[in-house]
Amino acid sequence: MPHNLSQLQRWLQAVIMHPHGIAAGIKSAEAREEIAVLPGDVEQVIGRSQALTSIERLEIYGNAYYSRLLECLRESFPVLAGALGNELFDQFAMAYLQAYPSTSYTLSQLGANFARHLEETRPDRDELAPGEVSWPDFLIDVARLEWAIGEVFDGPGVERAAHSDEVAAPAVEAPVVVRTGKRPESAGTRSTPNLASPPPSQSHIDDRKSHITLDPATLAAIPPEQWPAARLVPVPCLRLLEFRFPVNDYFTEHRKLRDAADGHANHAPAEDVPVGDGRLTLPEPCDSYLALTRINYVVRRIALSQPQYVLLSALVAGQCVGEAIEALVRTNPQSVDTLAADLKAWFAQWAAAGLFLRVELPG
Amino acid sequence: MHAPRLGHANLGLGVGLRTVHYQHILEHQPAVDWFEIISENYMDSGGRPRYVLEQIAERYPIVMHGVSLSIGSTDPLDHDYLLRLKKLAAAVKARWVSDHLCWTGVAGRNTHDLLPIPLNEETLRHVTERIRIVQDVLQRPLVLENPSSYVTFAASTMSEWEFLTRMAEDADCGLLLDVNNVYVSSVNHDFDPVEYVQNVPHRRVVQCHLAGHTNCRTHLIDTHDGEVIDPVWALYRKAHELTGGISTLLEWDASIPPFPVVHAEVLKAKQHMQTELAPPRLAATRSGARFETSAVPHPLHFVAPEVQ
Ligand SMILES: [Fe+2]
Repeated sequence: MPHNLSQLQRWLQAVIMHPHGIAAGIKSAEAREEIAVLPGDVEQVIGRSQALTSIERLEIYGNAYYSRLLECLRESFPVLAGALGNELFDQFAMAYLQAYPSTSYTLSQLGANFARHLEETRPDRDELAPGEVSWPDFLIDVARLEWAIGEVFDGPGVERAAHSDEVAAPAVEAPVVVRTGKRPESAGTRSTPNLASPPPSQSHIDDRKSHITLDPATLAAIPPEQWPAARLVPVPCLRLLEFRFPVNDYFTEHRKLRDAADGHANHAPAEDVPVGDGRLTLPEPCDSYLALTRINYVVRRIALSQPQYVLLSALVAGQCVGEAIEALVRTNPQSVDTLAADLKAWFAQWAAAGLFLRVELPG
Repeated sequence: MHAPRLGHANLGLGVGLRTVHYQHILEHQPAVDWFEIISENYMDSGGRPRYVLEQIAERYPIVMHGVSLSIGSTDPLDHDYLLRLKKLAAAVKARWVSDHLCWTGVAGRNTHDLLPIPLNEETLRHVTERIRIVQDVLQRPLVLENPSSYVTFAASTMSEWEFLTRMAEDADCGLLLDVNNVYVSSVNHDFDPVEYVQNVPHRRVVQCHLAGHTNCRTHLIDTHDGEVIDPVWALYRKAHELTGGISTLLEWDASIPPFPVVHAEVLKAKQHMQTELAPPRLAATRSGARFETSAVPHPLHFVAPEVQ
């Protein structure tokens, strides 16, 4: 009996995606539900060539499926792959691909659930006391950091707004950029009118951030009585992250090793310098906080203290400065003493780092 | 009878745009005729890839080449995807939009591979109907490429060139003739690549692909990681002669050398447009120099983020 297109596709997909190879795939319930053929009789479905049997030909697709997606995951999580070593990383990644096969048209979403998967499959899942931290948290935190970096890199930013302000002309269409199916974000946000526009530039690397994000001088000029009700609008590329391990420092160390290896490789291409593997050890648990943003299409990492994280999170959640400070004092009563001096320095620093688009004052 | 290339211009000799070449292209503005982009890498981008593309699109003709349309799948078409594709095509003034005669997944999954279809009447009806829907959404003819393949189906009743011919006529679409894929599949499935190139409907061929592949002794794998070999150039000469000249593009996706090397490879096509037709030397590559056993066929298109 001839098999229809749907049966053939469902069968072939089940066969080539099977983690234990083609023969196991052909014998799997999922495949047999479509076409009940035994590995020995597979020529009834897939022809052989002069040089290869049907099974050998199917193996080309089976091997390609996993190598391609494992390579993509290694590129999405290079620091995690370095921390674990490729072999161990691939074991986690294989399990992940079983649990969360791709359903997106783009490979850039392949790792979207990797951190969640690591959390769901952690071996100490049922033994952990509330608030207890152990090594799987380190892997999860690294995965979260790397995924967030990827999202900030290709998500909405403010560069385009700076660009379209320069060319007052009809500009390249102001695109609505939708990523990961979350809130649609207009990347064509305009700067506040009182900010001067930079001269047009041909260079793709010059620094335009200060012209489109909130100027520290504008912030410093706000009358003190208007501060409590002021709202700071964050740039769309700002991401705040809380970790149980110092993964930002770990990331930096990994970078140094990689760069050293790259530099080394330039001089002695034959020598293989391991990155990560056995060179970096598991750090001690330590709560850490990080802001990610993007300037001129490059992701920037800004380490935060716990009070800074609390304050920024409140601001990003839409609270006005007064409310955000109250939230901070509630959770960190000891911060009151130095608060006045700290706040001034923090806001100046964050504005200089381009974390805010504009300030909204009452009235 | 329609115009050659379905009325599209012959853009000349182009190169597939890859992230490793961004800096070189922006700085040196090389004298390449046109660029082909992987649509999925730009349709959702709010970052550097999209920004670079817009700058390049101001200076060079752009053609969009997708890997996830999945025209042969029995899953419903993804209309959200089609609308994004259409929007990108308008934004970069794409000369045309292409994808592959394949399916990439079923039951909601994406294998991110270009999987082969059984070549028979049922598939032909299915694919033709879907091409019409896609063309209605995009409001332009779709251009479909022959992929490299590694299996054949017992359920197939016709050759691939016969399928392509009937599909293109019935759906009124264009074709992207990848002569490297013709060659790879001809070795893998024991057919004559010259007969294939001779029989596709030449006036519907809008574009041609060239690429390198990997010889695994018992079969070839389409790896896009090297120079174009002589038998593939011979097929190109044939295609050039029969079509009267088509936009030609070199794909290089793994072990990517500096831009000038990639560009120089496609410029070799000029010599083949002038040389007289010679029969492809099939025997030459069956015993060719590059052998591998763990090659991964394309597509693999992932953009790594830049972070400080
Ligand atoms: Fe191709």
